[in-house]
Amino acid sequence: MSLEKKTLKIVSDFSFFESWEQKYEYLIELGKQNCSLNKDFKTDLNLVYGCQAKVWLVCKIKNGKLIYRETVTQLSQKAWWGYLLFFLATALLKRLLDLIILF
Amino acid sequence: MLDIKKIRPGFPILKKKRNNRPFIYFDNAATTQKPKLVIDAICDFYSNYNSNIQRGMYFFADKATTEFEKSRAIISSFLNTQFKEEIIFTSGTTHAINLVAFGFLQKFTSKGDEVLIGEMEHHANIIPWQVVARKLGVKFTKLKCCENGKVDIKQLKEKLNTSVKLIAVQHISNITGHENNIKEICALAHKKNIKVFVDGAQAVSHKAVNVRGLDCDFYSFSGHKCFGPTGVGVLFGKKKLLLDMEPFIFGGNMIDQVSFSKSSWGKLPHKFEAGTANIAGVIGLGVAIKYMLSLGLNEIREREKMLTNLMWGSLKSINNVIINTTPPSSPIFSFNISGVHNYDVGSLLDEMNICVRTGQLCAQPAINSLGVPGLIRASLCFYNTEEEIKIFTSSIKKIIKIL
Repeated sequence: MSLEKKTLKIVSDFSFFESWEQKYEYLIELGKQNCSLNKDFKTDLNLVYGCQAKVWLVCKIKNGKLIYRETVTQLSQKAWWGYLLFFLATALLKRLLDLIILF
Repeated sequence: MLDIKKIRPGFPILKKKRNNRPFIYFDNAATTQKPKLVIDAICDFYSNYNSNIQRGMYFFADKATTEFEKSRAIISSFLNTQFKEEIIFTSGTTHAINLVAFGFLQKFTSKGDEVLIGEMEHHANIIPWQVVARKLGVKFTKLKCCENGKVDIKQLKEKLNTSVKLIAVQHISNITGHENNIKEICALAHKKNIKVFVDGAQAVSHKAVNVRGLDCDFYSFSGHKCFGPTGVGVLFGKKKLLLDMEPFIFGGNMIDQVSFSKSSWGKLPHKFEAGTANIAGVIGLGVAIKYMLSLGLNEIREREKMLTNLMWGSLKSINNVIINTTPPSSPIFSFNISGVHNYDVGSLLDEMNICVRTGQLCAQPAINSLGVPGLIRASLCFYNTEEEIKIFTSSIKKIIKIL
C-alpha cells in the first residue's frame, strides 16, 4: 500500500467514529492487538528518550525498506505507535525521505 | 463557612471551557490557580510604579520598595516569625533549599558529619543536600518513611547521634497528603543540637503554619503553590543561623562594602537577596497571602476537610482503584488503577477536561520504594467543589470501562 493510501486509510478509520470515546476505544483495542517486542530488545539502546511512556523501538533496513517493531508501556500510545509503524512499514527508504522533505 | 459560589468567579481561569465544557482543575499540588486580585496586583506594579527597589530616590522606587517590604511583613506575620528579616525572598522552594544546603552545610558541617533526609521527599529536597554533602564529605542518610509518606519517628530516634547536623523533611507529602509531626521532629532534633529544615511547599495553602510554634530552624515554600505567582518563594530561617551563614549567591543588593581586595555583606535579609528580586512576584505573593487570610485559614481547612472526606470515600468506592494509604490530612490523593498505565488515565482525563498529574511526581525514590512505575495524583484545594468530585469519580469509572 502506498504512503498516500495509508494516510487516507488512517483518516478514513477515524472519520467513522463520532465521539472521542469511540476513537479512544478503537485505539485501545488496536493497542491491545499490537504485538510486543521480545524482552531482550527492551534495552537502553532501543529506548526512545523524551516520551512520557516507555517506548522501545527496533528498526531494520531490508531490501531498502524500513522494518519497525515496538513495545510501549502505555496502551493508548501503543496504538499510536502502531499507526506510525503501519505508516512507515515497508516504506521505501528513498520514498520516505522524499516525503519528509515535502513535510 | 466559605461561600464557594462567590469565591470561584474570583479566579478567571476557573471560567474557562473547552468543547463547551468547564475544566476541573485537580492539579493544585503542582500549582494553584491565581485569584484576579493577584493578577491585578502584578499588572498594577508594571503599569503604575515599575522600578527597582531599595536604591532609587524617587516616587516609583519608594512605592515599589514599600509594597515589596509590605509583602515581607505580611509573610512574617503569616508564618509568625520573631523578626521580619527572618523572611528571605527566593525564586521558590528549590532555591530556598539550595540556599540552606550551601549556606548552612558549608559553614557548619565537615567531613564525617551527617544529614538525614526523608525517603519520600520531592527531588528538590534531596538533590541539593546530596550534592553539597558529597562535596564536603558529609554522610547523606535516608530516613525511612511509612506508607503514608511520614518519617518513621522510631527510626529517626535511632539515627540521631552527635554526627548528625541537620534533618530535612517535608511538612506535607506531595504524594500522600499526609503531614509529618514537625513539632516532634524538631523537639527530638534540638535535644541533640541538630537543626531542622522543613519543606513547606505543600502545606501553606492548606493550613496555618506557625514556625515559632513548630520551632523549626528553616521553613520554605513557593508562592505559586499558594495562589501567588510563579518564580517567587520564601525561606524562613532563625535569625541567629542566618546571621552566621554565608550567602549562596553574590552580586548587587546584598553587599555592605565592595573593593577589589575584599567585599563584605549587607544586613539581613538583603545578604541573601542578591540581584534584582522578582518584585512583581513578591508583591503578588503578599496579595495572595492576604487573600488567604481574608478567607480565613480555619475556614479553608474546614472546607478542605469536607472535600478530602468526600474524595476519599468516592475513590475508595471504586473497585479497581488502588490507594495504599490511610485518609490524608490534606486533599492530595495518589492512586493507580489495576492493570492500567497511569499515563493512559491522564490522557483520558484530559479528554474529559480534567487536569491531574501523572507519573513520578518529582519523587523517583519515593515512587521506586512504592514499587510502581508512576501514580495518578488528584490534588484539590478550597475552590474545588463537591460536583467536581462527583464528575471525577464517574469519569474514572468510565475510563476503567474503556481501558
